[in-house]
Parts: sequence; structure tokens; C-alpha cells
Amino acid sequence: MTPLLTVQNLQIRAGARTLVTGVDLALNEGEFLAVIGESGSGKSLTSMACCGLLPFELTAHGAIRFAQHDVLALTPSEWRSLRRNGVAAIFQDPMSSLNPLMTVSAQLAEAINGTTRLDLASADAARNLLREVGLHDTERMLNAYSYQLSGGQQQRVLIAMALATNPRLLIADEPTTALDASTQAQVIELLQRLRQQRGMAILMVTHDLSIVRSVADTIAVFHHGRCVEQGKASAVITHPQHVYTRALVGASMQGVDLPLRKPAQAPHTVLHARNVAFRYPNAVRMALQGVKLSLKAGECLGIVGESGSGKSTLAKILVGAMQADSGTVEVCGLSPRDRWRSTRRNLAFARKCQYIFQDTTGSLNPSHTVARTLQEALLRSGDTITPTDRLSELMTEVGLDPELLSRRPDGLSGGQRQRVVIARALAVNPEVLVCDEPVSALDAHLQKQIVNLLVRLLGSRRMAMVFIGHDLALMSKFCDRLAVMDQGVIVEQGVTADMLGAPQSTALQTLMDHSFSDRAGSARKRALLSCAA
Amino acid sequence: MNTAIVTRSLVVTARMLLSIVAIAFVVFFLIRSIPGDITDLYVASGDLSASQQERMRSELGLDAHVFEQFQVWSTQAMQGDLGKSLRFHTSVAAMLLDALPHTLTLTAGALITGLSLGGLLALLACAFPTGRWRRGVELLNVWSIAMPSFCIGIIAVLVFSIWLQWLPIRGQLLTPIIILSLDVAGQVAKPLYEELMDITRRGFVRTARAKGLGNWQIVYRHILPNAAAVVISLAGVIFGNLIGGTLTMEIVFGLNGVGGLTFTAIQGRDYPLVQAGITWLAVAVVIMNQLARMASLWIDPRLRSIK
Repeated sequence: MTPLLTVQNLQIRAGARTLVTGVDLALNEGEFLAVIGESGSGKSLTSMACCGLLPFELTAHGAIRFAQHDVLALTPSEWRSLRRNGVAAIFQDPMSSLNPLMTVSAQLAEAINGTTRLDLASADAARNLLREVGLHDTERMLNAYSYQLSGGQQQRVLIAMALATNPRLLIADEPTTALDASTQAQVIELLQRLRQQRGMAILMVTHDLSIVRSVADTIAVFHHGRCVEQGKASAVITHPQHVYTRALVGASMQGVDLPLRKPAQAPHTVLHARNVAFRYPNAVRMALQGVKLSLKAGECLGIVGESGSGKSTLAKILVGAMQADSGTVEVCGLSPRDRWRSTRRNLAFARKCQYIFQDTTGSLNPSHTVARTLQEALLRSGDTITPTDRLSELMTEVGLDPELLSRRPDGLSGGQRQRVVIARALAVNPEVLVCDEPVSALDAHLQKQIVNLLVRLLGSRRMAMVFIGHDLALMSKFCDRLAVMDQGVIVEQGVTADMLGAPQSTALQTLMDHSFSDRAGSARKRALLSCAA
Repeated sequence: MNTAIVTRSLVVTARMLLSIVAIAFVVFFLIRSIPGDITDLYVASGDLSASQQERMRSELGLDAHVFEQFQVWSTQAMQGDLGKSLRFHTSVAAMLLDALPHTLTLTAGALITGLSLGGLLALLACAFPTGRWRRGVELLNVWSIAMPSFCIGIIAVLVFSIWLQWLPIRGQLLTPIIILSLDVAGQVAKPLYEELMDITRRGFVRTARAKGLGNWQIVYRHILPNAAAVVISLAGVIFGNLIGGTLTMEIVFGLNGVGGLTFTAIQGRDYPLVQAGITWLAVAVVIMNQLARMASLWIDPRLRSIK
């Protein structure tokens, strides 16, 4: 059987720079190929070259064949007819991949009949497509704009649009990266089901081995612009040949090895929240309702839930970035509301409680050097030692080379930026650290390192931490207690091992099913269950 | 749903009226705080003696306290009577209506030419991003910031009317429209170009391409509406600048528009005429801002959901 798609000796260049070199891939009709690698490894560029969507400043050389076509030699109009009949693509960030000014029906119509109106026949086709991707409330979906949909719904709409042309090959570039764990699992399930029903081939690009290990037929591993290993999925996972593949498989199998922490002696409560309620202006549903929490000194509390469950809203209220509609929050005897009263009180609160964001790029001033960022924080700490000495000390504490002090954020990698953000938070010696999905945007390696750092600091600094995330498998490793959120309510909270041993709420059960779905995960789950029993 | 629309339009109208009234109020006191009134000017030119001045003041009601004057004027204005010109003794409203067509032609001409020119230039610069069109956009932008239109106006009069004698010195619309439209084009072209370049890299454009749409379809369905949303948000500022520009152009080119009328009225301390002229400018800016707001609500569904 000749493969549906073959890539031979592919090279992608930006002017004189070579970004991808010597890549060979083959994908048969109806097969699932997972292309895995870290960011910058050339995996996305390769997939974009296969569907002719490389940015115009990049050029591809070598050979790509799809069915009978020589892909790299296609004219623009031949490309258009191939895309309307053969190759479809979906992308990483579903929000930005939909036009914010057009309804779902208009954008679906474009894929079905090339216009922005659905006529009678195409309206039926559109409804069928939406149902096929699991969006059953078709009328509401058709009239919705992208901002009215959740991330999962947006990605489903994009998949429906891709299916409209009955493709033989679907190219999916990190389709689940921007989604939370259970939505990720649902989207992967959906892709797998569609592949079986329609017999189409899928080329999926991802940095996360664990989400494709159960569905991929073949795996290609990319590293530094080369395809370092490829073969049957089972073979690659059980007998990884290349050093990088071994590291990758290792990272996703073992999860994280964390330093042990001793529970604090005679802990006192540093944070408590009672009956916190919040509703966004003009929203129908309460974002938070009757939330009750407490955190003891030296303790780590994990807050888990799907996206949209109110985790981040709660975090913002705990640190005083937003004010609750009702209820009380107290952190080390101070109310976050005081932040809004005067600069002095704001400062007093900031010295007790710090916040770490998910988006590392957005939370650092791009025009400030690392030194200036940290200095600014140190000057607020009332520190008596001169800031210059403390700067290198702080850098070493978060595992950064003090030489990086003169860099600006765009000269740092994602992991380094997150370390700078952590250092900035530590500068004032806070008693409470609130982290809102601090590792969700990082790949498996970096996640492991950053979590390691946080946990180590927790032990050495004797501070308490609220860790917000959706990766239950990761959080169960280091959180003393867990609180599960669903639809703005804490449905369950308690000591981690007890909760995982006997989950009470469906929300926790769902999260557990998705987080521990891989083989190693179930082993871990069994181990946890037995230790709880 | 219907009551929501009614309430919203009521709120909007009330807000517009409030800004217009506030501006009228400020202008009323500001113009009277400039030293000297119309009778002083007559005395200075020797047309009036000191005793006649007092009589004329009381005839015109200028001897009353400024708050009393405001009360009289606002009562009349509320009934739709904008008063009579102190100098020409004709109805201010009629003078304004006479002048309006000139100003509207100038403004509309400059706006339409300027927007088309700026839009076209931005599109060309976007289609050939490394070429000279992009430099044209930059140049026009710098031009519109750095070159005051009255200055260009005077130079244009010198070159085209006095040296070359191609055009009359006063009363022609061609040069002022060209000058103002270059101004508008410069202010539109750069942000529009930058926005277009940004949008072509967005995810939804890639999605559209992946669907197999043609370039032209991608441009007019996906890129242009998103770029228009940005330009419309700038429309208020651009129109405000344009109104200022028409004022100076009317003075430089001796056009009998509202701007020229207001200018002579200020020089002659013709209070009711100044009041009417400036209030008209305020009304125009407020209405254009409102139109821009409505247009962006119409284009962008996300804004509709906020209020």
C-alpha cells in the first residue's frame, strides 16, 4: 500500500537559517501519526508545510506527496481545491482560530458551500456536523459567536469545519494544548472516534506524549529540527532508542519526583475564606458561591477543577486583585479588601501574600531587565540588606544564573521567565503564595522542574501555598489537601490521600478518570487507593 | 429586548444632550471673559462715543450680570431661538444655515477622499509589505502629525494662487479638501496598515485559508471587517482633528463656512454668533462620535454583550 502522505528529506528555511532538516515521514490511509517534541523542535512547521500553511517568510525544500499530488509544487488554486477536498487542519488556540466577528453558522457555511449563508441543504449538513462533533444544542451553536463558547466547544466547531470537506487527512497542530485536562481527553476521544467512523488519517502535533499514547498508531519524535526517532507507537514507548525520547517517555511515566517535606509544627491558620460569593457583571450564573477555605502555615492546598469552574476568580479574590460581592477573606490577619483602601495597606498586604500567574510573558514588563524587576520588588520588602547582594541570592534560590540579571524577558525561555516571576514573589518574604496554574503553559520537563522548585521553597521558606491547577496527577503528588471546584462551588475538600481514595463528587471522579488515564497513572491511582485503605 | 433598545437609545440621547449643553455653558462664560465687548471695538474704531457706548450696552443687554445674561440666553435657546447677531442684526440660526453647506462639503469631501486614500495606501502597503507603499504610509503619517494644515494652506495659496495663478486665492474648495484629506489619510493609513499586518497573522485567517477560501474572500470576509473595527474606534479622534482643520482652512481660504463665520465672530466679540458656531462644532463632534460607537457595536458582537 502506498502511503497517503509521504515526506522525504524535508528542509524548512527562514532565509539562511535552517529550522527543520532531513525529515522523513509516512502516513497511511486511516492511520494516526503523532508528532512529538518540545517547542521549537520543528514539529509544527513540518505539519504546516504538509498543508501549505507555512508563514510566507519560510520556504520548504525536499518532497511532500499527498495521494497523487506533489504538495510543494502546487499552485495557489490547486491548493484551494485540495483543501476543499482532501486535507483539513485544526490549530492550537481555538479562540483565536475563529473569527470573532462572525457567527458559527457563517464560518461553517464557508467550509460547506464557500458562502457565508447556510441554504436549506447546507443547514442540514451543518447541523449534522455539529452533532457529529458532540455539539447537540445545534440552534444555539449556529447563532453563537466564538466568545460565547467554551474552549472545548470552540475546538469542536473548528473540527466540524474541518470535517465539512470530507478530508482524507486531518492535520491537528497541538489541538488540545489550550484546553483543560478533561476537555483535552474529550477532544482526543472525539478525534479518535471520527477517525474510525470516517476512515481519515490524522497527523497530530503535540508536546504531550501522555495524551496520544493510547490513540496513536505511529509516533515521530522531533528534537532540534530533526526527526530523531519514529516507529510503531508501542515500540517507541516501550523501547525508546534516542536519548531525548527516553527522557520524554521517562517524564510522562514517572511524573515528578519531589523532595519530602515535613509537616509544620503547631500550625496556625494563615488564610481563611468564608462564604465568598462573586458574580461577574451581566453574568447569569454566580462565578463563586459559598466558598469556604482555610490554609495553615507551611501547608500546600491544591484547588482543582475544569476550566470555568471559578478557580482563577477565587485566586484573584484571595489576593485582592478583585473584590468579592460578599463573604470574608483574611490573610495573616489582613483583609484583601484593604488593598483598595490605601497604598500603605496595599503594601502591608503584598508583604504577606504574593501571586504567581500562568502567563509568564504578560506578567513581566518587557522593557525592564530581570535586575530591575527584582529590585523593584526588593525595595518594597523593607529589607535591610542592600538589594544588590540580595539579587544574586534570589536568583540562585530559584535556580537561575545571576548573569541573567541583565536580560530582558524576551531573552529568557518560558521556564526561566516563570522562575523570575517566582523570585519576584519571594523577594518580599511572603507567608502565603497563591499560584494560578503556574505550570500549565510549560512542557512536561519544565513542569517537573518548576513544581520541584516550588515544593523545595515551601520547605525551606516555611510559607504556605495555594496551588491552582487542573492536573490532578501532578497535584496529588505534593498538595497536602485538595479542594475540588465545580461551577463556582467547592464540592469537596480534604486531605489528598483520603479524597483520592474515596472520591465523593462526580467532578473529582471525572478529573481522576482523565488525569490517571494512562497506564502509569492507573498504577499510581491503585497505589494511592491501597495506601488510603 | 425592545425595552432594552429603547432605554439604551434614551440614555445615549440624554448623554449626547448633556455634553452639548455642558459645552454651550462653558463657551458662554469663556467668550465673555475675554476683555472687551463689541461696543469697545466700536469705540476703538471711533464709531461710538462713551455715552453712546453705555446706551448701546444696555440695548444689547450687555450691562446685565453675566448670570442674568445666561438666564436670558438659555431661556431663548431652549425655545429654539439662538438670538440675533450683534453686528449684522440678522438671525444667527439663518446665518449658520447659510454657512453650513460650505462646511459640510469641505468636511465630507475631506473625510471621504482621506479615508479612501488612507485605506487604499494601507492595503497596498500590506499587499507589498517590503515595498515603497509602506514608506508612503510612514511619510504620510509623519506629514499629518508634523505639518499643521494652516501652514500648508498658506504655502499652497502662495504657490498655486499667487505664483502659478492656477486657482483663485479665496473661495475655492479644491486645495483645502486635498490638504485636509492628506491629513485624514495620514492618520488612518498607519494604524490601519499595522492592524492589517497583524490580522493576516491571526489564527482565524489561517483557518480561513485551511478551509480553501480564495485570497479575495479571506480579505473581505475576515481581514477587512476586523481591521475596520479598529479604524472606527479611531474615527472620533480623526473627526475631531478634521473639524479643527476645517476651521483653519475656512479662514485661510476665505470660505464662508461655519469656521470662518465663528472666527470673524470671535474677533468682533459677536457673542451669539460665537455661541452658535462653537455649539455647532460640538454637536458635529458628539454626533460623529456616537455614529462611530454605533458602527463599532454593529460590527463587533463582543462589544454588544458588554452593555
